[in-house]
Amino acid sequence: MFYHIAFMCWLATALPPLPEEPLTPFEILERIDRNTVFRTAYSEIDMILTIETRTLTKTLTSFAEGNDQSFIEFLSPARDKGTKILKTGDIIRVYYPSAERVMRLSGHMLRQSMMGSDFSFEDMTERATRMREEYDGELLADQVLDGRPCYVLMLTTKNDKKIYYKRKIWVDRERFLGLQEELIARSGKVLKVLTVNEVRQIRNRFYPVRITMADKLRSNTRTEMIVKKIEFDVAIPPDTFSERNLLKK
Amino acid sequence: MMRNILKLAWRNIWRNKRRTGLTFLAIAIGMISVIFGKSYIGGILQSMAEPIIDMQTGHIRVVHSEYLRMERILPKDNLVQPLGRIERLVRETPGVKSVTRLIKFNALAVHGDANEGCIAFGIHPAEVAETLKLDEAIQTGSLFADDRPGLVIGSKLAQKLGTEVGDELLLVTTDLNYSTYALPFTITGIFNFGFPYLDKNGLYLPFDKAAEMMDYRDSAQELLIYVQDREQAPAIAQDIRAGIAPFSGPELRVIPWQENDIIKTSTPLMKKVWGSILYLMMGIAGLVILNTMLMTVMERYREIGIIKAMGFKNRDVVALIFTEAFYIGLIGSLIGGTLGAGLTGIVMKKGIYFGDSFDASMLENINVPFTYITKAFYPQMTLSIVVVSILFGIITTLLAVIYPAFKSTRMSPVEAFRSELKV
Repeated sequence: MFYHIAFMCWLATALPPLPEEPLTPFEILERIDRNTVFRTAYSEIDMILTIETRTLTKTLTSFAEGNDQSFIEFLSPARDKGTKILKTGDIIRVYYPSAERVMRLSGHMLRQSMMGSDFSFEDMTERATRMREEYDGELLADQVLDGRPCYVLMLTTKNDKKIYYKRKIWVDRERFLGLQEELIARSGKVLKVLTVNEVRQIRNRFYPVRITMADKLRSNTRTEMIVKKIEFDVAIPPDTFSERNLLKK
Repeated sequence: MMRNILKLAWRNIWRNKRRTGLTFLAIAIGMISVIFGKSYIGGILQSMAEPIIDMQTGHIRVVHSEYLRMERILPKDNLVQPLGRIERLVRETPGVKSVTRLIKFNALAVHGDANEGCIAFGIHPAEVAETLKLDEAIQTGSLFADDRPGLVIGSKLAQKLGTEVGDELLLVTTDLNYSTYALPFTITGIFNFGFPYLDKNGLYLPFDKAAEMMDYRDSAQELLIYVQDREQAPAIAQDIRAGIAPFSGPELRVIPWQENDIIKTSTPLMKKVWGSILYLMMGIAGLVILNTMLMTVMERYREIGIIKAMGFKNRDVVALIFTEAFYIGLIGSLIGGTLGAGLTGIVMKKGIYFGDSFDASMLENINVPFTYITKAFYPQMTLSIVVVSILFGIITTLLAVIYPAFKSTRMSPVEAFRSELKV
């Protein structure tokens, strides 16, 4: 018996390993989701807008529960301080402290620039998209991007209402995170380009902490989002995602 | 001899009253057409330039060159500054009548769950009272004032938002530093210029509120200057340019209305189009006069033969024909000139109104105030138009008799007796 086991062990080590089964696009998306999808998250963010030669910095905090609920509050600059954005379901409400009024956004308004940045309200409030549920993927190629081997996937949305009909995404083969994305309209026009500049390992996941978004429909602008602090699966204070919180001074 | 010719010519034109009357009529109709046509074209050109001057450019426009380049998207930066100092200097410049500060920005107008993109204009109502005539365009409610804060909104924009006078409207914009800023306003009035682009997209609010929304300090996007004599605008613009240059920087442009792109490009085109129509009208009038005069002279070959047989030399006959033509031309043109001036004068007062027949909605995306099409417009008659037209009538009549006069010199009296009409 002993010899039998020893022979089997020898065989296992002596024989060349079986070829690795290539991942399907669905599996790649599933691995991405493990990094980016969260139950709850709290983050502190710097948003650096570069518009032609000008650079403007805005700071904000964000609470999010999945992709459905999100609450953002701007802390600076002075003119933006106190502006709050609440997303519940498909509706976004924005509170403007200068007017002490709440504006309700829906439909095409969700795709408008948020606070002058290259991110739309939708981009900022849907940071935990479940890729494997929202998109069908097709593996286009293997490429090296900035020294990192990547899968290049073309994703097509399953939801007709989404403005980004397709997304061409360069996925890091080791960390399973999109390093670059082209967000494409139904017409085939590239609307935005997202580049991940820095990735950090936070416990068991890799997460992008410096992202640059360039809206290709605007000229000479880009917005860098720096995640200074992020905590996952935090307890979110009750009433965070409520209109009362929006109006609270 | 000359005196006799003058007398004879005068007597001749009254010999056949019906023929002379018809000739007068032909000349008069020609004159009326020319005077009215020329005044009509003048009216069109002026009513095209006038609303652009009143609503968009002033007689002189002070604006940053980069703003001008990107004007279509209403850039937030590249402003006229230091506004106070520039404005003071402009007001002190001789020939300047008034100055208007203007802020224009893209905004989102929100009423309840309805929202619409719009163009907001920050103005001082008193500064634009004579030019924009906003108070005259207000259909419902009234213009905002210091004691009546609020804004006025275009009729079609109000309709889209479902708002009425007294409703609250939230205005949201992205300011100079790309911060989002919002202010609530009460709608004090709803305007209708009959200029679809403004009625559909525009609203006016107090200048100070617009400056607050855009975070502008001592700056505006445009300074519109109105002068006493608009033809002097280029010279006054030159004075202003020289005055503000030391502190405003080279990027600021001072543009007289004559150099406005729309006026500069559209006026020559309109002049060409309408000018060719006018030349056609003048040509027809000239042909009518020519034809009538030819008939008038050629009917009288026998008579010419008689006076030649009586001893008139060729040059006397030519002088007689030309003198008669001059009398006819002068009297006909004076009658036509008087009637033409009178008729055009009446139309000038009443105006020509196209509003009901013209579908203005096709112009709703064009940011040029084509009020000459959508509203009444008025022919512009000047003394020079009347004088030039009368001269045209006289000269055409004289030109019309060159050929028959020349023909008469080549004709012997015997030949003239034989032929009644032989051309």
